[in-house]
Amino acid sequence: MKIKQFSFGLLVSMTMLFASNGFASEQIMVDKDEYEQLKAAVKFLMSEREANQQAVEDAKQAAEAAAASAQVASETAEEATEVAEAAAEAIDDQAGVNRWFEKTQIGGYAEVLYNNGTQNSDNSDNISNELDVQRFIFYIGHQFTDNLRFFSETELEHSRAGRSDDDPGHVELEQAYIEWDYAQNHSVLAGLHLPPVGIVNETHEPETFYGVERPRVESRIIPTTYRVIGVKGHGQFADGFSYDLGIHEGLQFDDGDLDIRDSRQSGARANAEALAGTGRIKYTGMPGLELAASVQYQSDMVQDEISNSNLRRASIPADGDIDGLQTTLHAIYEHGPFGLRALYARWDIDEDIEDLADGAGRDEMEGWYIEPSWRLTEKIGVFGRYTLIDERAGSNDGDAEDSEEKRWLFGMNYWLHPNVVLKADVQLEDDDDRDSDNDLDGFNLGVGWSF
Amino acid sequence: MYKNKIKFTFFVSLIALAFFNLVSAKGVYLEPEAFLSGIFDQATPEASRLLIKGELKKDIKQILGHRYKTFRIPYWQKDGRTVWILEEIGKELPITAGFVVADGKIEQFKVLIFRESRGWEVRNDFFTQQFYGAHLLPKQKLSHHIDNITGATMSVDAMKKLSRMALYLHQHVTQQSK
Repeated sequence: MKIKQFSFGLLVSMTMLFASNGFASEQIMVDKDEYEQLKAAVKFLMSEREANQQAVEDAKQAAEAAAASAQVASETAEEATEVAEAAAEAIDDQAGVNRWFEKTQIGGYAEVLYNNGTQNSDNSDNISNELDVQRFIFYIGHQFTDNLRFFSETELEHSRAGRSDDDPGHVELEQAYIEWDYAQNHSVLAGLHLPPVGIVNETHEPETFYGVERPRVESRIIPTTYRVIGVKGHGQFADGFSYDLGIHEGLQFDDGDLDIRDSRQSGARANAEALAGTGRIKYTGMPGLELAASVQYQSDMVQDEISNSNLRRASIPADGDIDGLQTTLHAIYEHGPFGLRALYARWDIDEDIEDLADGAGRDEMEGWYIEPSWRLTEKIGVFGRYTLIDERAGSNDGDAEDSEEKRWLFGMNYWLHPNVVLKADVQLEDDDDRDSDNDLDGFNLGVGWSF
Repeated sequence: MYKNKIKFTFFVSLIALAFFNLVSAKGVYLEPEAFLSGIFDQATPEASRLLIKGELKKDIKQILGHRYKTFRIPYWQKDGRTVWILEEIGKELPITAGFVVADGKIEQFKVLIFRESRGWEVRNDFFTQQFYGAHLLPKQKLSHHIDNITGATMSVDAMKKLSRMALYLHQHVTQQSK
């Protein structure tokens, strides 16, 4: 019994001993050198681990510092944005303040020409070969309020003005008026202004028309640039219709010269004995189309100066008036590259004018032109113009005989810029009172600009 | 005889003028606020402001020929449409115009405030409707030909520039918001 108990105990102990050895890791037998190497390796790995942990800690701290800096930068940027916004608002607000220079406009335009006209004759008086600053205009305007403004234009013609005969030019005030928008779509102006007649009388910056010179009909018959002191109302009504109606100084025939162009007083101590009235209706209700008709009446184109010995003839009563009526019609059409302008102007003057010196045929003066054009490119346009003028159309006797002047003009414009233009044209004249050898044919070159 | 005829014509003209003055009146001026209300049916969104800088500034200068008068431009955007109220000088004074752009095309264009004494025809529908449907071609050119108005060339040019600018700005903000 005791042997069995001892054997059983020994068996259990040995079983437990083997079992515990089974849970333990397998023992690896290494020699001392390998052990030392393993120990060193473990030690190295432990130190690396510690170093990495430190690096991670340092990186974490650096990241936290960077985040803090970024936060500060962000706050600073936000502050800067707010300051910029505030400055922008201040500037925007200031833009609404009416500073005088923001309400004052300056500008101008100019034309410099070369005229080369030749006649196939020995009459050197009619040979033209000339360079000229035709005109140099400076304008200034000021907006007092949204509906009250001032506008002026000053002009120097032919470069040099003075008292000497060698100074061919003159300085003139072309416009100076106050305009008031008294109602929506309606305004009134008072001062020196351009009456609403013809095409180029009101709009004549060089880049706005073809030809080196302005259309001859408008220069001679209108007579552009025609400026007067007076009062004029302007407004729009219905779709595309506008009106102009004014009372102003009239023309004055003087010193035996019954040339319409030379009878302009231009606001220079103008004789106001007989005023004139001008009215115009204009339609621009379709894209590219303008139609207009104007009428001007003056009760006495001699301005009650009939007693002037240079003008008077015995047959004219001392209180005689020479009244006159100007009529103009014009049409402008532009569509795509194609353009067309046509204008007719005439004066019907009291027939008593024929009894004045140089009055033959002057009771009727008329002229017309037609001008097709084609815009080859955005910068180049070509045109042709046929003009007929007769300043003594009332009769065909004496000085009025064969008084028609006809002219062909062909040329081109080259727009360096929308406001800068180079021009060239060729003119062919056909005046009835001259034979063909004496007609003034030639070419013209010009440069013009406005700003 | 002339005197009587003309006096009569003058008198009739004055009467006709008075009559037209009473019946004229289609107000073509439109306050910017009223323009916006009309576009957004009284629910005008809050204005955003576009800062003009960098490439935007350079391109606008190329379109207008000069820098724009402010360096922030307000605009209104809703449902893919943008609305711009811009100003440009015609001949002497600024013209204020409103543009609605959708899908890269001009949907509406109105001249809101016209301050000059000439060139007022640009306010008319016959002129502004020429711009409808216009979009930008390469180099910020306008796709539609716009017929000129005699005596209003500079006002017409100003409106063409503003239409190109509105289309360009629409392109800029809609690309940015994608």
